[in-house]
Amino acid sequence: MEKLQFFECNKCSKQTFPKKFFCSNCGNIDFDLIDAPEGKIKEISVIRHMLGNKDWQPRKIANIQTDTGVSLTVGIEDNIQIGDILNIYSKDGAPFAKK
Amino acid sequence: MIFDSRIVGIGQSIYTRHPGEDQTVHNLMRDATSNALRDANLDLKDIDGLAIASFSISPDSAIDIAWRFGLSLNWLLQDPNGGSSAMNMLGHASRAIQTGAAKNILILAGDATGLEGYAKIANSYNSATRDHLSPLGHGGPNGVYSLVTSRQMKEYNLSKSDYANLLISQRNWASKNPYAVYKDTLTHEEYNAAPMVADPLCRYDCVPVVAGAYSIILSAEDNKKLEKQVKVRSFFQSFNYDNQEGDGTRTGIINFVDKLYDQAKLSPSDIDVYSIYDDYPAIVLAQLNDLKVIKDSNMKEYLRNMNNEIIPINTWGGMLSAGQPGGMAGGLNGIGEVALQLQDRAGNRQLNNAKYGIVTGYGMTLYRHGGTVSAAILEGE
Repeated sequence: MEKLQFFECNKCSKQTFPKKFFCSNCGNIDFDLIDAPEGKIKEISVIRHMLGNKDWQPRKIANIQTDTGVSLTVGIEDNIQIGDILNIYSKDGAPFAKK
Repeated sequence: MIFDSRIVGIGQSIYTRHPGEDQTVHNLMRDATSNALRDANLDLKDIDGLAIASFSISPDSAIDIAWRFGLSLNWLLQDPNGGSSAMNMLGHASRAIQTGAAKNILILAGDATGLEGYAKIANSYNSATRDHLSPLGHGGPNGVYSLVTSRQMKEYNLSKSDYANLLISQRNWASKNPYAVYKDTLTHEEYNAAPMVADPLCRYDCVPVVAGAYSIILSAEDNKKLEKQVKVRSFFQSFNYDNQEGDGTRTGIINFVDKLYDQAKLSPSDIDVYSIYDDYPAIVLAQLNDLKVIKDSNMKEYLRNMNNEIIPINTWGGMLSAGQPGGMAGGLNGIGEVALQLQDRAGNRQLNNAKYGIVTGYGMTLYRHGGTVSAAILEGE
């Protein structure tokens, strides 16, 4: 998996994910692609049921927050706990986090 | 905004978890429309405006419904904003009547997606969901609001079982609503033992998807057969209030709550009945808190007291018990229910001396929580 790309405003340096077209801080339209920094797991949920899918196997998602102020939803493996500091990766553009 | 238009007719179709072949969205909308017209004492030819919201009339549009229903119109609107569509349509239709663009507007919503259709909508709700959430197996809005609920529990010191009283209260109301799909009372034991869907959300925290339609008619003139007319005394909306950078435990209501009460010259204690958009219990509480209904933001105490009082919130049972016929019709049902209460027409759900009600819409889960919210104060006079 590749590192997930964040979007960093090249004027005020505010980071964001997913992509925006104007910076919510300064209104600039130019962003640099940067590797997502590490993030801390804040909340975890186990998705136990998926509408329309009878063979669904439970999987975990989590809210992860970076020191740069970005919160995003990631897929995680079973052994992850709240408070873990993880690397954020991309799988076909979708964010996942691992130790 | 203050509007002079009146809610003169209310009608709904059957709500069903398992629609038969003839219970298509068009047929259900037809039934809701027939009932609303009869209630308003109006004919199709009296309707000169149509506002419509549905996820499942595609490939048809509002104009197709106008044609198939035999409506010749001066004013037409189709609103795609999910849980906020009903309130959007109420606002736009009220302004249309205020400006003379139309005299009698049929506001109509309904869906019959089926579970698989709903799953498709939920997984491709917008590009952010399609590209960044669905590939995780996030379970649609259940996954999004499971994380919001966890944040609310942390912030307001709530345990999972604290939410039970809200669900039990709404189920008690649903038992008095002939259209509700779940009417059996709910106990604390049943709530606490319910299977998890997306932790911490259990089965009772997630709306049951139903097929159904709901309709109200807004008019420039009174419905003379009604003793009380219902008008919109205050109406405010907020869109994308925090750029999805907040934690979802507050809503855009905080941007306008003081104006909402000031415009109607009322305070929170004056309100007799509430329809609070209830896609998830946490969002009901977040809206009530932002509306200053929950004293000192003490959600724990507020929920505990629900055990001993008749709480006039979602007196039709809400979507959580009566069923979600799509968020669009579900929102409209909330508006219709408050109007029925203020007109003393809510049957065995009727509250005593209800004069003022609040209705809300909340929706359009952008990424981490909803991006739209609306609230109105209705008055019966």
